Amino acid sequence: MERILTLHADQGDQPRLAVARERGAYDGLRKALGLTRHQIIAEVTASGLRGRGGAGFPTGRKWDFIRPQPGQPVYLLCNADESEPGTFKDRYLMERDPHLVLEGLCIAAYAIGAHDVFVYLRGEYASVGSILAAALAEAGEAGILGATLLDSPYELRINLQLGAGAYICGEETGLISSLEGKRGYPRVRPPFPAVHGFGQQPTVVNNVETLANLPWIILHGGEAFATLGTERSTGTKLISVCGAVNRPGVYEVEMGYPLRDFLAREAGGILDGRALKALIPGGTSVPILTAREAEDVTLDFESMQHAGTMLGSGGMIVFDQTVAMPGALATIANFYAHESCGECTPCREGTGWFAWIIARVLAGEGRPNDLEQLLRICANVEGRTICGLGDAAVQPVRSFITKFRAEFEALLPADQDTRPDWQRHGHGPRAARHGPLGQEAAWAEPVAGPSSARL
Amino acid sequence: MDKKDLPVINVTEAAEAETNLASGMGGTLAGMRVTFNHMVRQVLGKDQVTIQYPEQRKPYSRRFRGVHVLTEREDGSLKCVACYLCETACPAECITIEAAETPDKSVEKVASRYEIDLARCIFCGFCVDACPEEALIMSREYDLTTYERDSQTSYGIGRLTTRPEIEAYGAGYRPHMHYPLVESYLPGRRRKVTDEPEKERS
Amino acid sequence: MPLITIDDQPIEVETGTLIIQAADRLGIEVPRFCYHPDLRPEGNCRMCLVEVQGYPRPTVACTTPVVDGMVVRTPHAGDQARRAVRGVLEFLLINHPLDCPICDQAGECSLQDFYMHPDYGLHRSQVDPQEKVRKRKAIDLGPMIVLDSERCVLCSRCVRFSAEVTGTAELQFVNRGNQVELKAFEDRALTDPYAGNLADICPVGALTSKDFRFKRRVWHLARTDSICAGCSTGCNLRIDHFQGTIERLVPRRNPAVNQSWLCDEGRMSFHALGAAPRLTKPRAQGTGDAVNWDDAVATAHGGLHAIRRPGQPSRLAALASTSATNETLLLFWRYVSETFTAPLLDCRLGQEDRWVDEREDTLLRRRDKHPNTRGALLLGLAADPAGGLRPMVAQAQAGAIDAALILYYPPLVGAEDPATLEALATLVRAVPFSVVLTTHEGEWGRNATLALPIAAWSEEEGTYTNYAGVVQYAGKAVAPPGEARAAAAVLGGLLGQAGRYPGGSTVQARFDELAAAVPAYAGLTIAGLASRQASVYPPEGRLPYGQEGFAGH
Repeated sequence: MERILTLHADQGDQPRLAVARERGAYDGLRKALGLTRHQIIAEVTASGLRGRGGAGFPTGRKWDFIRPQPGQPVYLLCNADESEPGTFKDRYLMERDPHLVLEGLCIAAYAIGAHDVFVYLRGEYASVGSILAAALAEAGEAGILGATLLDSPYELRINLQLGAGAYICGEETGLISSLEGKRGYPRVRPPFPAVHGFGQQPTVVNNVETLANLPWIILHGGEAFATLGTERSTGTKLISVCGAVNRPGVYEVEMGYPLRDFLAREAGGILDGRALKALIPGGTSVPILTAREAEDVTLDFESMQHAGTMLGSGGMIVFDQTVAMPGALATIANFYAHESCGECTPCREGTGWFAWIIARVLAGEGRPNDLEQLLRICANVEGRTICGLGDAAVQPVRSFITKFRAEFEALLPADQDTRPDWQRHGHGPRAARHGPLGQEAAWAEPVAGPSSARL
Repeated sequence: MDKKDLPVINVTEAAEAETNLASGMGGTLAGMRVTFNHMVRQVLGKDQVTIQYPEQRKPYSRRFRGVHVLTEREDGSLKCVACYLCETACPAECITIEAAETPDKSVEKVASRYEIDLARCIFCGFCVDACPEEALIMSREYDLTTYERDSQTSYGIGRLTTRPEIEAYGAGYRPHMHYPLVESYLPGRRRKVTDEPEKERS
Repeated sequence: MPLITIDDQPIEVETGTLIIQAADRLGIEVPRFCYHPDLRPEGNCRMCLVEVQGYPRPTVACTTPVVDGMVVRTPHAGDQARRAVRGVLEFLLINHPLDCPICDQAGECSLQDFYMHPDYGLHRSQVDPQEKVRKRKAIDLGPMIVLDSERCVLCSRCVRFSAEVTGTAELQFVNRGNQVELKAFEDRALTDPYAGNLADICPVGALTSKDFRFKRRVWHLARTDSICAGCSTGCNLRIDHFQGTIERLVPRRNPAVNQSWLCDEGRMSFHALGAAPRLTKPRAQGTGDAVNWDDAVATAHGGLHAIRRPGQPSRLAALASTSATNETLLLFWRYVSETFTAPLLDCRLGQEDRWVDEREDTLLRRRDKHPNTRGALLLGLAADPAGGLRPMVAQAQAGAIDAALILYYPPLVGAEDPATLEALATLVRAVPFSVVLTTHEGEWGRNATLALPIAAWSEEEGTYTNYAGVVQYAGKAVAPPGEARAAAAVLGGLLGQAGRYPGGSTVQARFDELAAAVPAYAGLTIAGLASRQASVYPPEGRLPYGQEGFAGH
């Protein structure tokens, strides 16, 4: 299989510039600087490269949206926020082959006419940031990307910005808000970042893995890239697999590779010879697949979509028969409740509500209509939010309950009274000292307040 | 039905035929007999309609709408949060409220002045229905005679919470009749109040 | 111009109009929290979701401009929209505290109103009150505002107001998810002079007015449209009152004058009316005895009239007020100019005509703390370049004045100027016969021959002309105290004593006379003003000296 992204990644000295250059680093950039911007965009479009951050939007088309007015600056933002649970492939690339990423960054910036690039790196990856910063410094000293790129007059300023622990800042417009120094709140679209993005200027946001594909595409041509993979999912994909497998890690596979084979070969089979129970193919934001469903899919966008899920970021989480699905869902639901930014009503309240209900089901205090309730909340959140986090929270809840319903129902108490507690037990003290996830309310005082009003 | 088949009554002839001393006397005597029976039974003490008030009193329903009572919480503060719903609901416009702040942040609002003009009150109970806090209930007290108006017929917080009649007459119209009364419901004490009809005074 | 239909009703609007604005124009209420016509739209509350034919998901009406041919269905007429809005409202209520009995917003609360709406409210709660997220309550944010972060629906109107309108950015959200709270930095008091508007724009009881806190339920309040009398901007407001007491002032939206805002000083201006004792009966000097009105008016006119000398200028100092309504000023001017010959007639206490346009800040406030300086100038009450209170005082001290007629209203904003009061006192003392028409008891008027009680700004109806020449109608909210009467009525009485036609007794009739007298007001009517007919200051009015023109909006 042609290795585009991981060719040198396992050779521990790849981060060193001299070593990387010997192996061909920045050759793609040199060739790109000899092409026009339109030629590069054409090449990338021909390659069929689609965004590797999870959305799968064709990269060439995204770049094509950039039509700045004369004098208007264009910005390239590299989304290195990688917070999708189960995903650690960008980290792999940045730690082991930072120059590949930087080279891709430069090619992309040149292609869209951006002279300022911001790499938004999640705060938890501070050590990765050191590696990137060192690579940047080395490349800068070597004159590859200092004020200008190589020997060309093209100015480029690359800035590394660390985040501070927010999944929402991996969302395109959330990232832009955060980079502007504001709360990482996403923005209503339209207008889209290609028209009004960072600082209200035309902006492109690309994922790390997407950019890392560019040097190879420039060197070998877009058509060659398109011969790999499937017709509509071209090239290769990094899969970061974790969970109940013998060899968790990051693997590069050609698009269209059967999942069954991936699990057996690259991932080394299910841990301790157990049976596969379920699998999330692309980060917790995509619907879960049962073992049966996982047998027939291949690792590409179309096959996954056909199976009712998504390839997403390629962050694969594997569950074996010892995993209790309600507990797993609780962990996932708590993640979304914790990460919801709070800007729009359905996600803010819905994710919190998911977490409460699942927590009480797990504690054995679920109500008989709780599962219907969860599905109803899913319907009320989906499609009504400013950004995709709302939908992302809905997919696991809905798919877990639909496909593993029996496990949840087993936790519900047998009593059939479906009234909410407060209707059954009468009125009680008004104040609760603890939030529903057990967190202490810092300023709640114990009180004997007025009886709760009847609704 | 054919009109020809209906019996025809000549009213004049019928009246003349029935007017005789015997039938007239008979009806009158029958009525007088009923009255006489009642009188005899009353005199003999078997069937008395009249009761000797105030020594004897009629029992009233547990839901009787009498003079109002303001209830309190476990810590002794009034439940009333001066939401003004009772004042708004009252058809006789007889409730006057003024709100004030309390440092207890879980409550925030209390009534600094709460007055019911019982001379205007029509005892409909809308105020009790309107109250969201179960702060206002009605007792079974109906005896409201005074020597002066206004100063004696207008009850403020003091008399709405502490007067001997509350214990004497018991609680009447209030929300959630089917729940047992919470111990500290009625103001001023913490003992349980029973729902039995008020005992007769001797 | 795009033509669209909303709920089967067609409407043509300008390009760039938002769907929610088009719906408002049609009178279709699209429920909303975060949208406000004077703040940048944000689209985060998701309450204004509507169905647009051809769009797969519900669309946010407050951020989407109309496109020609759009077919929109609001929750009132569309199933998908109704379900979407119902879902959003349910989400908003799951953590909302059960505070209605103690919350001041009850009766004018968007959550209450939307919940009670049959199209998208009245769902059954599925959440135990014990489960609700708890946040901080009753946080003091300074002299104007109290914050209750539990009630906040996170619409961000206050955050945007504080960032865009006042530029002070004092409020922001902290934390994440359903723990997000509105907070002032370090809980510091809000110091900008427009903080009172936060209570108006907050759709729920999260930000409430400290001044109005717990005073009265809003459904008890009677409402009267009026104009602020605090400065020459003339912000549109509404006086909310109950049984003769003013409880609060709230702004009315007028994009041309004050958008949706009031400054805090103007908002609190009604307190000035009760700050000092009011004059409640006509009073004669010396004995301080009350006099009945008929006698008072007769004596007043008699005394003033007596100073006239045929063929010679009247030695009268007539001081009108730039705080009086146009109708009052018209009658003042008529009485003085028809009864006397070339008296000293002016309206200026200081240099109001010089700084009637001057701003005090970049938003609403003006330096001139009188509501009707422009109106007084238009009536020619500052025609003499050497006129004004101080020149009158000087002349009186020189013995050149035999009588004074003074109309004076204490300012509603800011403290009374001691120098002005001193000057007035001096004028009254230096003159043998003085008639004072004023609202409050004051040391300066003690020696006046006659003190006549008049109604204050909220106690009479009339029109005021703001700095830019916009004529606005202010209604009468409460009755004047005691025997006080509207100054226009008193002046009409004086005119009657003078044997002159006192003019119509209704404000409509008086304004019609005004419109006839002042070319700038030609064509205006009270009815038109009350419905905000445009009114402009054309240059053919009687310009006082030194005014070439003035700064527009």
